[in-house]
Amino acid sequence: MPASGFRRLARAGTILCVAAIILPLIAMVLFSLSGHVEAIPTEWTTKWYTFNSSDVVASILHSLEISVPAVAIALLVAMPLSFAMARWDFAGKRLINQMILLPMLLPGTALGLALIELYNTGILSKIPALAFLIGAHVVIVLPVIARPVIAALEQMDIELETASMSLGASPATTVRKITVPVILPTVVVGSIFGLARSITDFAITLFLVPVGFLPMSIEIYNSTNYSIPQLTSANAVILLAMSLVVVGIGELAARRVSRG
Amino acid sequence: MAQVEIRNLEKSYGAVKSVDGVSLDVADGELVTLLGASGCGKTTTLRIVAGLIGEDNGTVAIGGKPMRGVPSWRRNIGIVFQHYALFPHMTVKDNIAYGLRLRKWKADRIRAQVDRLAQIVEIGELLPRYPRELSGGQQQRVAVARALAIDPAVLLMDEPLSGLDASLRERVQYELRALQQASGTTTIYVTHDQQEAFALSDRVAVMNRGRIEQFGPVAEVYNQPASAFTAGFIGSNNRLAATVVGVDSAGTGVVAQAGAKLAFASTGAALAGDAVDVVIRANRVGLADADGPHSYPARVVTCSFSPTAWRVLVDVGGVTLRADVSEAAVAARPRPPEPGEEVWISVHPENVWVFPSEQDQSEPDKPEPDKQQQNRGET
Repeated sequence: MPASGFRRLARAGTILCVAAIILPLIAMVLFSLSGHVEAIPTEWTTKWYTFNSSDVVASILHSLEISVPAVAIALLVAMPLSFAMARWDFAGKRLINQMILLPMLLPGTALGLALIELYNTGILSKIPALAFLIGAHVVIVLPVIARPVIAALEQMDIELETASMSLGASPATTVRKITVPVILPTVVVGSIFGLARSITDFAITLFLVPVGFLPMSIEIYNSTNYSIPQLTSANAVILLAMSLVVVGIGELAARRVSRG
Repeated sequence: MAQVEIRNLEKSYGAVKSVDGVSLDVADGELVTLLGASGCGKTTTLRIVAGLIGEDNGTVAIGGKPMRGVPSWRRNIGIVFQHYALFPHMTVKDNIAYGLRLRKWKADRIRAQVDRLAQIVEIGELLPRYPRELSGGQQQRVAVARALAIDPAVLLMDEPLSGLDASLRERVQYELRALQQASGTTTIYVTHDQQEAFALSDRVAVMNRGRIEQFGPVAEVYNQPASAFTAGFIGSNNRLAATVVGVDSAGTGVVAQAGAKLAFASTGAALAGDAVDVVIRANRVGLADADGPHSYPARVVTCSFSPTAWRVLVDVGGVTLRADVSEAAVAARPRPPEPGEEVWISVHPENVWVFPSEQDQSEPDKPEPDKQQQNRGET
């Protein structure tokens, strides 16, 4: 039957896609636990996880120092921006729509290079380097948050707000009690993915990090200096675990919020 | 509780006059339906009363107080929406209590009011649930309870039953009517469904092109239509463009189209030679045994059974007429009419309604069923 043939093809494709994502990660985890340079460990060890632990801990803190404020600021910008994009028609709306997308489409290297040029040549060099780096992260996080929030606002039944107002709520109360709670799961998920995007960013961050300030993604790259591939893997596994925890918490929170 | 006075309401969207001089009085405790097809301005009128849309001209007064400049959230109105618009992140209980919390009621008073309404609309066991866990009919009840909980001066309902299937819709019509009469809440109801309008209303306002064509008690609108539009919109009808052949001294006129000539009871308005619109209710065209007064020879085109009446299509002198014939009338015959059979039909002149020709106007017979589109267009 052609239907079952198609289904088999679809299933094979799905398995292939999942394998392409999961297998390298499994290989990385195995590698990080291996005493020697070999794909399937013969000697199991956790020593690579403690080898440069003070650097790793410092880099995790540095990552959070960049990403948490970046996500917070992006959220503050994304909310009113999303409201405006979803609810009003104004000149330049389509342009802004494209601009929001731009950081997602540009190669990070190009964006990072452009930003460092901007920083070095202009009056912007008066800004502390960390603040500028955070600003750059706001730019890359913003679309990750704003796009789903705009979609959620566009999908939301506008009559919910009408109903709220007919029951006696002012527009401000309506936004607080109806609109924000309804889109909150999306905002939470968007922020979490924004945080993950920020923590794992390498290309742009590489250009802009202040001297001696190494976030996780850069620390992993630097760990290759030791010429111990297992060590790099171990550091990467820590970053992976962090991302998974962040996204997992987000998913749980979103489920909680949407349940009421 | 309050009466509603609407005076010369106007609202335009660009060049389109959505509401064009609507005046309407709704008495305290009365249920008035705005009935009309897509884009006739009924939803816009409702939304102006609700304060959701600003009027260009005219006034709305609720309980004698003019509403100009009063925002929706200070009008004390309850609205039941087409798609219910229940707050998805709140339980049924919190949905109903929403308006009461905004009014800063005390917790025990809120609980009592929520319980009272839950009992009235019979959803007591659903209070802890979320809207997505409810069926369409249950959601509809919650929406009514939420709107009534605030003891609104006026209840506004915008096609609240269009999402329900036919059998449930009919049951809820009875319930809504009983509920509205019991609570005595002044209600304005919007629908395109004439059956629903008749089942629910004290009075019906038939709307067309932003105007009220006729406003009166249900039976009056049905039996004494004031215009060809109302006559054609209500009920199941034959509508013909015809010419008045003559009017005799006894007040019986004759209209003709093609080879068909029908007698009508003249009111003196139509004169010989006038182009007129003729409307005849399908259920007032009968089958006759033989040539008698007001009988016309005809030939059966098709004949089919429906639960309410036999639907017989007949050809009278080249004009096709629809006749809804009662089961009893068909049973009285040796057998149901068959296509091609020569029969006699009877049409009493009182039932041949003649109106000045409205040929320049659009065909109103078929209200568009696409509600979604209408709502987008009107709001």
